[in-house]
Amino acid sequence: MDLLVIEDEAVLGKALQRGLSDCHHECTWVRNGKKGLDLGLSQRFDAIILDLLLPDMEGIEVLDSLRTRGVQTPVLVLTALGSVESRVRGLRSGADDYLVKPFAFPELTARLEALSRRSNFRPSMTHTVGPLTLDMTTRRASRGEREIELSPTEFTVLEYLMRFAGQVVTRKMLSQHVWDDDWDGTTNVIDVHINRLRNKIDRGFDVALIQTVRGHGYVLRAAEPSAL
Amino acid sequence: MIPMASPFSERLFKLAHLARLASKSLRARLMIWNVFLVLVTALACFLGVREGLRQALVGGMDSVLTADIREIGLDVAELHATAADLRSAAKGQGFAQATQLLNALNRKESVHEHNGWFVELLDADEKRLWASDLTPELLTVERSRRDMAPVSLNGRLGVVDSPYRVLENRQATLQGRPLRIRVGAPMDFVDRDIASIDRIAIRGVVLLLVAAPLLGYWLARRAIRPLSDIIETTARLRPNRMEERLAIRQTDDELDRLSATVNEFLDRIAVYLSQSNNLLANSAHELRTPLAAIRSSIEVAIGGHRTPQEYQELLSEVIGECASLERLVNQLLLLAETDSELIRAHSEQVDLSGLVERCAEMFSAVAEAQQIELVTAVVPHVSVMGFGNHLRQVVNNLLDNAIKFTEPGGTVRVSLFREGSSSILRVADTGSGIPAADLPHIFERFFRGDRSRQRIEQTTGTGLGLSICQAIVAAHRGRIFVETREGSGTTMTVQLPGAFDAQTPRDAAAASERGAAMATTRSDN
Repeated sequence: MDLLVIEDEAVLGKALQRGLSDCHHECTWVRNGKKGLDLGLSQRFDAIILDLLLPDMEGIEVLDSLRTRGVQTPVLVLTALGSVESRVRGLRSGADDYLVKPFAFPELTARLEALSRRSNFRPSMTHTVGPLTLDMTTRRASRGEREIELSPTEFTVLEYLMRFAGQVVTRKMLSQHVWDDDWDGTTNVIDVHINRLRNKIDRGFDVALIQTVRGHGYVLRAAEPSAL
Repeated sequence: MIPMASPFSERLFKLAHLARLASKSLRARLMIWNVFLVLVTALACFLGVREGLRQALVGGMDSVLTADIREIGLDVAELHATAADLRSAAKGQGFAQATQLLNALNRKESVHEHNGWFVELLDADEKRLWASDLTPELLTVERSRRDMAPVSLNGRLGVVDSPYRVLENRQATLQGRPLRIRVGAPMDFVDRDIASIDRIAIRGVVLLLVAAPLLGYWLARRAIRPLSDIIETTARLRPNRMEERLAIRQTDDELDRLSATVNEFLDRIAVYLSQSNNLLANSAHELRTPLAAIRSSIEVAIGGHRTPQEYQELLSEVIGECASLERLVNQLLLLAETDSELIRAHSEQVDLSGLVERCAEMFSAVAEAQQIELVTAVVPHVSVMGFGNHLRQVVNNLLDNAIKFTEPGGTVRVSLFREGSSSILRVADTGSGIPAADLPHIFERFFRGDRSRQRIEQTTGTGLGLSICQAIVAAHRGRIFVETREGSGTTMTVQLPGAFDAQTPRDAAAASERGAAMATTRSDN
């Protein structure tokens, strides 16, 4: 993807640029609203990552200017303002999605992909990752020849993991998607659900499809990555 | 600033300034009103007394004159003489009966109680037949004078003008011919009496003009003094010096009640301030721990050459600590957000039943993993007005605590139902209970009971969970209770006002179906 990052904070900006480049995205980073607006108006990007607190102008202004001049590029807003009101304001202003700082990097990439997919989204009736198949209409799952019985919750979790197959899915993303909840307690509620799911799809097989990424979350992979 | 052209204009300016100040001061206004009211009352009293006195004096005079004119009328009626006889008698040569009458009238004039009394006899054409010695020439002649009605007129006797009270009888006859009898007396004694009253009154007014402002000033000062005390005391208050309170004078009047109200308000503010200060200090302290861990992990990482695996481990620890920092910051933000203003502004109908079921479902796996039976008894379609995200935090926190502090084999029971106009959420566990010593502190921020250290080694909470619950519930104008018995369990009850049935006709059938299934089910998949 071709991305524009408008973020004044140097460390975060640099980390974003490096991280997004690692994920094979083209990334242009500018540190103020005016430059960002100029670039956003003159070049075509797949998505724009916009910080709301910029030194020269409000992020909201940048967004307004882009939208009023007909730029429909998906915009993901980053904000340190976590309060209810600023969240509501951010989404009303025409942002496509937003993320409250601090955020997990996998969540950012997942959301960016969701944004770019949104425009040409093609709902599929079956998901397949390696030997794993999920039938969305009959709500059946199978690994190879073996049919797997899943509870509705487990089905939703697995569907989500498969949608982002090969990418890290954080606990927060899962809790938000499955339970519409941003529970951030100390008990690892999500881990237990994942363990249950693991018991059903990985038990008895040599290769574990659901892997834990320490400090981050989970990833569903068809095969062990050769690098590690 | 202000041009001071001359000492006079300067003084004038000062005076105007004082007047402006006075109009702004409650005391000055009270004083001015007092003076004004006293003067108006005194003036009204005086005018009333003056008029009453005048009327009494004139009335007395009128009754004397009326008696006189009747008596003379009778005397005249008995007289067998003509008008001509009277005229000649007046010249001292009439016949005896007429002369006798006139003498009697002259005598009456000289001994009459009203000095200057007169009597006049006139014919039908108002021509004088006879008049007593002191009869004045009436200056104002009123043609419309009614019979037997006393009037006030000006008369001139010699060179002296004075007011007279005059009464006329026009019905008298003299040998069948009409005769007018006119009696009267000077009224100047009335004016003299009134004038003396006026003099007394003027002295009184002067006295009042001096006394009323003094009295007013004293009264106003007395009334205002507690207010001035309140102002002085409150002016001394500072956020870091909130010990002082307003004096209560035990009079139980409005000002005492004001002071008491202000004092209660100050108490609440003081508590709030000290809580905020504690929260700030505690937060900073709590932030230090993960910060220290992050710092040392990174220092270790950059301190020497490490294998990629070591780097990964160290950096994973950093991410873990970042997560606890994040959690703490999020919870602090949540606490800051739980002011009722915000909740009222974003208040919406929240399907509490659905919310509780979802939360229970989320925790069911944890409960199962720890061999705890999680039982839900949720009455469907219980809704409240509020902020769903926050209410979910309450349910999650209560469930999390209940599961954390229950031994394997125990039971956590979640129930939601309506009671009167309230929704009741109850989370009961069969855990170890809360020690009596901890009970008063469980809603305090950053309080962690000893028990949480005993069993939960790997994860310690922020110590904000229950205080967040309490803040959220309070913001929804609800209450939260705890019942606990050491060794046999804890029951947390949340009471939220304004329960109502969110059921709409469209999904009524589905609801009753679900309700039957939901009555008491173990929610493990």
